[in-house]
Amino acid sequence: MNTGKKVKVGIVDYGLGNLFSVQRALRAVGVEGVISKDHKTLLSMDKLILPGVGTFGAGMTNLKANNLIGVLDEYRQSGKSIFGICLGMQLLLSQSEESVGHKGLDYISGKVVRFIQSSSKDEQIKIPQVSWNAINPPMDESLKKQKTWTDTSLEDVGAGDYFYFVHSYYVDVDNEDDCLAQSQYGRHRFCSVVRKDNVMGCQFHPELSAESGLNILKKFVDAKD
Amino acid sequence: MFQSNLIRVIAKLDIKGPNLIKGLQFDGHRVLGTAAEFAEIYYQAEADEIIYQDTVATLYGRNGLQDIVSKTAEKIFIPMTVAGGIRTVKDVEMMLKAGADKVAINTAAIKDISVITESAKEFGAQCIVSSIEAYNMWEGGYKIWTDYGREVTDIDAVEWAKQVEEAGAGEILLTCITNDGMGKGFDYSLTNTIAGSVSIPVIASGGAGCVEDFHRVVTEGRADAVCAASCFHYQYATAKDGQQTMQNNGSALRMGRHIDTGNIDFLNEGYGGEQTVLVDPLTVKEVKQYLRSHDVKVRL
Repeated sequence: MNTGKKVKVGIVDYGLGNLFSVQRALRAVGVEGVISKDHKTLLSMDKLILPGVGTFGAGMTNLKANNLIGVLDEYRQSGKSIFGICLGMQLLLSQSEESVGHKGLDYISGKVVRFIQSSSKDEQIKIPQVSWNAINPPMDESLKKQKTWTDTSLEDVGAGDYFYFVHSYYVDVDNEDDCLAQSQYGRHRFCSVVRKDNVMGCQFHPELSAESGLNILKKFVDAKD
Repeated sequence: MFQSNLIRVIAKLDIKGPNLIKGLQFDGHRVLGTAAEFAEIYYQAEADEIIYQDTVATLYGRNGLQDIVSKTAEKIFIPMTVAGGIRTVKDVEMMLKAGADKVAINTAAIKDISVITESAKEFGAQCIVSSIEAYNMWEGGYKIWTDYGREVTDIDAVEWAKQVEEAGAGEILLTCITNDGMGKGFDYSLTNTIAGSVSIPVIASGGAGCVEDFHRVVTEGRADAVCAASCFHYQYATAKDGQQTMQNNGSALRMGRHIDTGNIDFLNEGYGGEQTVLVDPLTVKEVKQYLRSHDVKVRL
């Protein structure tokens, strides 16, 4: 727990997404998030949240236009925690099918791919997925058992808890170790939470996922780095 | 393993000023209490989303919703859709800033569909809902009505659904005005036709009266989300301390204290009058449990 000094959480403002809903959710867990695009302000934060909706290309273009890629790189190298939400999570990957030619932040090796409609009449899915969906720990193949969420921001989440998703694309990580939780939609089993060192991201919106979502944000802001 | 999307159970709150109201076929509204108070109750009751429909915004050309929206957004952490009086990209921005997660547009899009395209481009399709309010003209099929049921158009509802998807809407909120508030069930056939004509999710609204209706609109109507007002309102509107019954007690209504004057006669007279509407008061949980027990996936 952060005792004594209040933890400073920055919300990266690059002109995409509803930053205020993230800020309100942080307020509900006792932290006043700082919405900013100012480099010095962001670098002074204890933790950063990278929100975002829209296309992968627009996301990277806006980050670049605000000279935020270098800031995020520097922040990550400092060892402090970064948490990407929805598009913010996808931007952590290397590249996306949605916007070929735009390089991602590449903090987590892998690519962002689109849901594929089934040719079977009985297995049609709606794209985008606009729905609550369950998350579960993936199998750790080397240990032949499910991964554990102990000591992660998902610690207080139960396997099978529901979260609110809105997306047409999902992440496909190169290294299974980077996948902390997975979900099922149609025939796709996809990675819904990624984590590698001090970088984490979730495809769903914790700020819109009732108490389960607030739990994740609380764990994230309370975690000692 | 194949898994379709979970079915969302949504509470719809028709509001006028700060008050929650409910009418029959978009008319004859009665005040039930304050909207913000109900929204919080629905959040606690595990509704998957809430929809605020400002019933007079289009009529008076104003956006009185902002205040309620921002107060509500501080307290509930599920998606909140705001409908009513959204006319321009600027209006969309204002509502999103106030705390809405999505906006639903009907009247303005009928006048000029580019408001959907432009807003989706600016803020993402995920927050632009096309609100389709259709009236069953029997011989003439289903036509779109605008201005919260006050203006009639000649636009075919099914054709319009395809157009709004093309224009960039992320979801459709489909209300069959003919059924709204009557408690006799959704319009399953219209819902099915529209859900089969578009690939974006369809939220069915208007007519839920019992748990079976929710199930039918998912199976027969192929709805992706189900939405109800009366069933939930009459469940959660309970007498407060000091109130003997759910009837009028001085100026205090069923919940909270209404702020405008409204039609409160029904509280003394009962819900009857010319039309008797019988809905089963239902908790959100009861609806979800019923759906789950019939093999429909829900968040429970």
